[in-house]
Amino acid sequence: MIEVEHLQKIYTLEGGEKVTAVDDVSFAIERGAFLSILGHSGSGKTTLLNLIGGLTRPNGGTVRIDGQDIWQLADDELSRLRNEKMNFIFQFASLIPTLNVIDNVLLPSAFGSAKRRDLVERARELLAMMNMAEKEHAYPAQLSGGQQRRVAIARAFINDPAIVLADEPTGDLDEETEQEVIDLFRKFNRERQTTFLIVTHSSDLAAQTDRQFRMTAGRLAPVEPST
Amino acid sequence: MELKILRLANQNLKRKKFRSLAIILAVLVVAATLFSITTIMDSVEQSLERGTARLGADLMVVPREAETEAKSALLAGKPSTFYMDADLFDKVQAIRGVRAASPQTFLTTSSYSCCDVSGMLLIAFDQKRDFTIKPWLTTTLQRPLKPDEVIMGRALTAYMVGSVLTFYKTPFTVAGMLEETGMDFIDNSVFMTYEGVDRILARAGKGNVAAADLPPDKISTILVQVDPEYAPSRVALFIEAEIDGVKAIVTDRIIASVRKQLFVLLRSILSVSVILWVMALLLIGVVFSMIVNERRREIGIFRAMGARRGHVFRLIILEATVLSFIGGILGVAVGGGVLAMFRDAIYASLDIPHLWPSTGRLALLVGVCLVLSVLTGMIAALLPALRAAFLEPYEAIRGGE
Ligand SMILES: Nc1ncnc2c1ncn2[C@@H]1O[C@H](COP(=O)(O)OP(=O)(O)O)[C@@H](O)[C@H]1O
Ligand SMILES: [Mg+2]
Repeated sequence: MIEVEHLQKIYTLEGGEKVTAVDDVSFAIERGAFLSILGHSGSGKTTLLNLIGGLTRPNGGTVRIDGQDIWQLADDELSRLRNEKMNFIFQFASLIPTLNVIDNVLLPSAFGSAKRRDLVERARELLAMMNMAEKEHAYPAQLSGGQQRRVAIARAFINDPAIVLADEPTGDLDEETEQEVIDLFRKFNRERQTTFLIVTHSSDLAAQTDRQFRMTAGRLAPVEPST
Repeated sequence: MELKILRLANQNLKRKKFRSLAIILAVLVVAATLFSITTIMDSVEQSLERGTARLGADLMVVPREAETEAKSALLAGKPSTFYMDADLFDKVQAIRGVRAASPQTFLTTSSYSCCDVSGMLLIAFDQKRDFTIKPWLTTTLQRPLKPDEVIMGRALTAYMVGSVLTFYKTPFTVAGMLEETGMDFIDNSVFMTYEGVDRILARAGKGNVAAADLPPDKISTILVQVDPEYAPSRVALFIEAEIDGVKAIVTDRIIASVRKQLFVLLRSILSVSVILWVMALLLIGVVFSMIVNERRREIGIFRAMGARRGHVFRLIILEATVLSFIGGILGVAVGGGVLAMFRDAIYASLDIPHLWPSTGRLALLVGVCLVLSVLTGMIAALLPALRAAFLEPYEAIRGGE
């Protein structure tokens, strides 16, 4: 379902200096894969997720989703792909400050053919799963970092995505909530065949995924199961 | 789809009250100035068009020495009288290019207790030759005007068709009203036949009736229609060359000169409003650039959630449109309010003919101002909107950090 070949991303810094954030990365995963990517900060994990998610253009290599080279698509097509097949959980606070909680969860419906009305119930269910049902009408500024994160996680499932790209999704959550989130991911993974790419610092979380990768200075390598 | 984007736009505007208000205010000022100026200009324009059309004449022949007086009587409507020999009429009629001519004689009512309205301009016209008065009656008169009847200008609102006025102890019945023209000269005058004037002359100066200030065998002006194949200015030259002591005023030129006068008067206001407009454009442009910068992450997240470039573009443009539309409406209301409150003072200081626009015209002016307001917002937001739309999603997201 996702095939990545010789993927490369080079950033040119202001001084003209070049940083190879993703360096010749190749891998392939099937639908329903549940995998984690570990690595130090600055190793290129976020960049890799963004390349796969069609948010930043690679300097070389290909990303295929269901056989389609996404960087050959027109921008509108790529946008539609994101709207219908993917969703993101970002590393940082990513709620829209001017929208209340439920509207934030429903955000993808503003850009697609799905009717907002038809998704409100689903949004409420997702918020309930994240224990945020009571905060439906609150604005992000009225929530703690952890609460905002839970809303962002609820949003990641509103369009029933085939792929969820999660960048340190449990970064600001306590251990108990982290476990709830992993369980929720697992549930979607089992019930909806949702493919997960989870970037994490938490070896606990990584240990619960089916496959683990480690990123080092832009290069990706599978982590061999320790004995 | 558009509704969803509009919803997003509205939510953002509501939560960013201060900034929204600043933009609304900028558009408001521009729209208010624009609306009041265009309304004033339009009222003068309308009045000029109607007044000169009402006059129905290409030329107005007056005594040479009365040229300025005649012009100011036409435009500012100060009743003034001037006279020339009645036999000039035949000479004018004989000039090459004159298709029709019609004499008029002015008489200002005495301020003694002879008359219902003192200091009013009575205009005698030749019924058989007239082409300037009867076509503009509000209700057509199917018969000739009788010697004891008058036609009134619209500004004399105290009188209606059927009421009786007395001039020099001579009663006249109002047989018709003229359409309003905005030109005091026409709106404030009373028109009667030469036989009517004879009735006045028969009473005036006898017994205790005040004397009428009207020399015998004189006329005030000759209104001329020219043959279509002649330019009015050429015929005016013929007249002035062949008849001594007269001036042939080209009525089109009067319009042109008032327009010029008006333009000079309003040029400063106009340039101020152009400066205001440019400033509003810049202000809105800068504010929207700031908004786009500040909302980079938000825009990036929209894109990640599937927003296309077009969505982002329309979102920014819609926000600008909504704000400038509100600003435009408020501006038209404020401009209209100021005009309504100070209307008399404004027109008095301009001292030119004017005609408050009809509802239909007012609606048109409002519409034009609203469209211009909205365009202002859209143009100002165009570049920021394009910039926002073409940000790379991840760049946008990172840029917002
Ligand atoms: N937009 C960018 N411009 C310049 N350098 C960048 C940009 N994004 C990331 N980098 C650099 O690329 C490298 C990898 O960054 P990132 O993908 O964010 O790593 P991680 O998520 O593993 O911390 C870092 O050296 C970072 O500074
Ligand atoms: Mg990162």
